[in-house]
Amino acid sequence: MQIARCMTPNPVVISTTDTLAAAKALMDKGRFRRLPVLEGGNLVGIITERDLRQHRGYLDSTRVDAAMTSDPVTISPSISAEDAARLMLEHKIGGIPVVDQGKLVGIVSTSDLLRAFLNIVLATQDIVHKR
Amino acid sequence: VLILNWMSFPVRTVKPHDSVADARALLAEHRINQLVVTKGNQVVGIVTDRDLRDAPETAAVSASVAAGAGKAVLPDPGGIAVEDVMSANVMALRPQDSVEHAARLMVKERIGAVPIVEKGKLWGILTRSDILRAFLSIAASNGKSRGADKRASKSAPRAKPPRKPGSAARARVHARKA
Repeated sequence: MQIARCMTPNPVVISTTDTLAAAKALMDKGRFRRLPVLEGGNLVGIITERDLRQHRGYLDSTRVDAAMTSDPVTISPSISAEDAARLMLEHKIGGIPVVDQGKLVGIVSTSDLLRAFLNIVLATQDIVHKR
Repeated sequence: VLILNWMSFPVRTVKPHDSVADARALLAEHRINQLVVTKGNQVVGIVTDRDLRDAPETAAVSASVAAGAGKAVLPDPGGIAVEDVMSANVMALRPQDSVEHAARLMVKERIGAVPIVEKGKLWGILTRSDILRAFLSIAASNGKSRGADKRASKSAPRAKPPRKPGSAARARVHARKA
């Protein structure tokens, strides 16, 4: 299965010059743990809830680009869910931005992959669930 | 697909009265995100890295609510007990339950790991990473015919973002506020 089919398309994003308080508000509202960071329309980083925790007490005064991970691992929409899972395990990360020809088009998380794999497994194996 | 074949063990555990500081040290030492809290042989809770990082705030809030006071001074992680910040409402599964069931549970409940318990004994813990590994192995055995896919996966494509801005040191950024 291609990532394009299991990613979350058009994710909520934040800008490098926004504050961490703004990032937190977006995460709380959408109930997600990471935001792609854009600058001039280009993906330049990713910021996670864990990054925010390290700047506790300074969320209003700290810019996103000071706390984000720059140059994040990204994938193209045409790669498989399996390859995305391998990258997550290898890099110990929970989400990867999906980039197509330089443009951010989605984000894929472990939850997306668990759902995708469940669909694959249930479709290809006749698993009878007994509980 | 049985949990038995994919769970991780031995499980790192802490006691309810262990300190948050000790628990965090254990997580860092083993590079894991969850600890199971046990009392004797009984699983009484699960505590995540997130619970432990938030512990001083959590403890301060409950203390100030109890005292009816305003903002309290943040307590030291060495003085907070794990039981004060753990989730006591643990969703455990059994070794013979299916990985698919665990995957559904984790997505639905938004949790990262499930203790695997049977007959009152803690056998293992199943994390999201364990499930991804299980599914990868299933996908590999299902997809033996899809040789092209496998070859493509050898060089996992990774697009680079256009540029990389310098990230200021945290200390410097915080100093700017002062």
